[in-house]
Amino acid sequence: MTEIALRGIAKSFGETPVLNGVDLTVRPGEFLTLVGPSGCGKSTLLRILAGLEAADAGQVQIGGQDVTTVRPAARNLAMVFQSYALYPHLSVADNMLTPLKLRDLGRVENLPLIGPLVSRGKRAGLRAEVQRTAEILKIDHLLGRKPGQLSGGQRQRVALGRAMVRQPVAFLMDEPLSNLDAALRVHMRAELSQLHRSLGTTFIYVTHDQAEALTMSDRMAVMMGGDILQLGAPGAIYDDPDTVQVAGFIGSPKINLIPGEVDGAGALRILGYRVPVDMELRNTRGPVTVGLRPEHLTPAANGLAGRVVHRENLGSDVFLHVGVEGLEQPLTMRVPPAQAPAAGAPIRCAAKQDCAMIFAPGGKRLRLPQARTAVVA
Amino acid sequence: MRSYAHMWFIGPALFLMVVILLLPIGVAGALSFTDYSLGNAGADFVGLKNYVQIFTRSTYEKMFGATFRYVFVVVPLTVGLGLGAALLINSLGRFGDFYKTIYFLPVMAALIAMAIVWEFALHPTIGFVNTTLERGCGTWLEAWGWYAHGCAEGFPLWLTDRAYAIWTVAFIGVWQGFGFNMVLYLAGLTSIPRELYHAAELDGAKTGWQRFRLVTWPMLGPTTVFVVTISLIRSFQVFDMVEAFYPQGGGPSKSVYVMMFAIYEKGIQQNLMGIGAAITVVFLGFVMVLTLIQRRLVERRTHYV
Repeated sequence: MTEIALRGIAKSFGETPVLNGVDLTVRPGEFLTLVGPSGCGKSTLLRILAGLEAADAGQVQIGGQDVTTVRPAARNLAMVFQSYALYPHLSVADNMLTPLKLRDLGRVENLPLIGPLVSRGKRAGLRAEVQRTAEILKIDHLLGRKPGQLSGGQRQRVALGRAMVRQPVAFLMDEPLSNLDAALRVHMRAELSQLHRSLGTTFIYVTHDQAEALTMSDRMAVMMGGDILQLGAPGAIYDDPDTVQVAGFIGSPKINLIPGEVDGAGALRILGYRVPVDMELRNTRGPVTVGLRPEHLTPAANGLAGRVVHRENLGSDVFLHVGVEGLEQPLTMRVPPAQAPAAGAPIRCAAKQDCAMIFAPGGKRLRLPQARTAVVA
Repeated sequence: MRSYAHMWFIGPALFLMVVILLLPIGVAGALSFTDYSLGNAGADFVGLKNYVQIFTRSTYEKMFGATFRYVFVVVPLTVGLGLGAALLINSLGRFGDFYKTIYFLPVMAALIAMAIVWEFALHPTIGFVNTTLERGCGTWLEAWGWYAHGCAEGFPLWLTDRAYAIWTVAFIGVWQGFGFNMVLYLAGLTSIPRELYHAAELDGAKTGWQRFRLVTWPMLGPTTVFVVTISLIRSFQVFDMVEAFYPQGGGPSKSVYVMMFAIYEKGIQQNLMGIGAAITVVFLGFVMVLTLIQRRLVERRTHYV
């Protein structure tokens, strides 16, 4: 079990800064996800960790050792690429055998013709290891095929297998599921989590899909504009985002971000409607942004009056898009199918008690519930 | 009702192929069994006489010798040097385009003009090749027997010595041809996904040779099939250089009497269409057989993505 740490990693491509001094410590054996919109620097951070890209400043440590200048081949990390990057001319077995051959066979043993003769025993051992890994991933029946003859999901498994055989310090995955169709993606999410549990090795996973991050990771780091905005368990980040950007990025459908204000009496209001928040906003006055997730809104007798402009039925839930006069964006609200009115029907939306998140104009969260003291964070 | 639309699509191409490709080959095949000369009203059927001549007379033995020497020197060297130059240029950041231009210049230049320059360069007494070699006389280079011999007896008459002529011509052929293969390989190299190199690096391929064996060479397979085929056909077709150096008779004791030149000499200069056609048919056969063999050999190991 090895700890991986990134210290003050900065990187820019030409004039464009991509990472601005990122610090991140990956605990041994955890499933850590780097999640963020495209262009936020998450892939670059992973590639710097792998050694495929050099950082302009900062340090990469694996197991307490500084490996910033160590070449990728010597870092003992394995990577699964978005395109899988399988060697198209080699069979599945040979693809998986390659890292073992490069690690365990000497110069002479890797020669064509002579090599297989002098290293027969060794090669048999390596092939057995490949077989074992293939059985875990249930691809042992595919070992003789070429990557071109495999489906996307099968290629994905082979890429995983090639990463696994070597028993690396950590698996680095760069959007590995984004080339799969939706159903398979959901299925592979579960499989990857299971694999992580059974291997117990560190997984560092890059994705732009917040659903993948929420479902699989032990901890996730939300990145935007070259910085880690928030690092924590998926549930904690969903329930308690630090900034309006994180709140807006995590969660689907998106959180409702509504302009509101704190009035002279310290009450939170949206278009005059008083949002039930059991706290005193003593030191805050003026405009704020109110974050309300779709499940935090409920139809009620008094609330924001609007009209259902669109109705999305997901079977278990119905998402209503409610147009409210005075608000630019329609509100999204989750209701049980039985209570869902038809499109076009008038409705009043109320917020549930203490669910609203309040963000200062700069985007920072105003947090206070327990302390009952208004603190501008 | 049956639609004949497909005939309209393939018709023009089919028609052109028959008229400008298959028909002439058929005519050449037919002529090769006659003693036809241009201007004659008719021709007599001579059976296999022309072919018997080709495979028995010593002139044609020399023709095959010269052609195969040229092909088996030029093809491996142009392919090897083309790949080498492409890899080196590909690894360069800044001066890549500069070298690309330099190596590609001989391909673009008119070979007839270049032949005149080479004739000067290789001139036995005033050519810069031999005058440069003479400067080395009296130095440690004389430890090499061939060099000492050259200093004592004079350096070879590169283009007119029977022992050197075909190799000199082959050398110029390599010089002229490898830039073309280099460009093809450069195109092949740019199509290799970068991620494969990254995967190889993470899999532990530390040396350039390991990465070449694991990624570059296999991924260049389709390019290599094409490059080898093209080089083979191009070097079988060598003609203009021989014509420029040796307008009469194909070099010192016919040592550079390549097939294309033989066809030209027999068929056009001497107006022996029958024998010219027969050489053409044999030539076509060679090119086809070699192409098939190399396709078999290479394609089996080639992966097309």
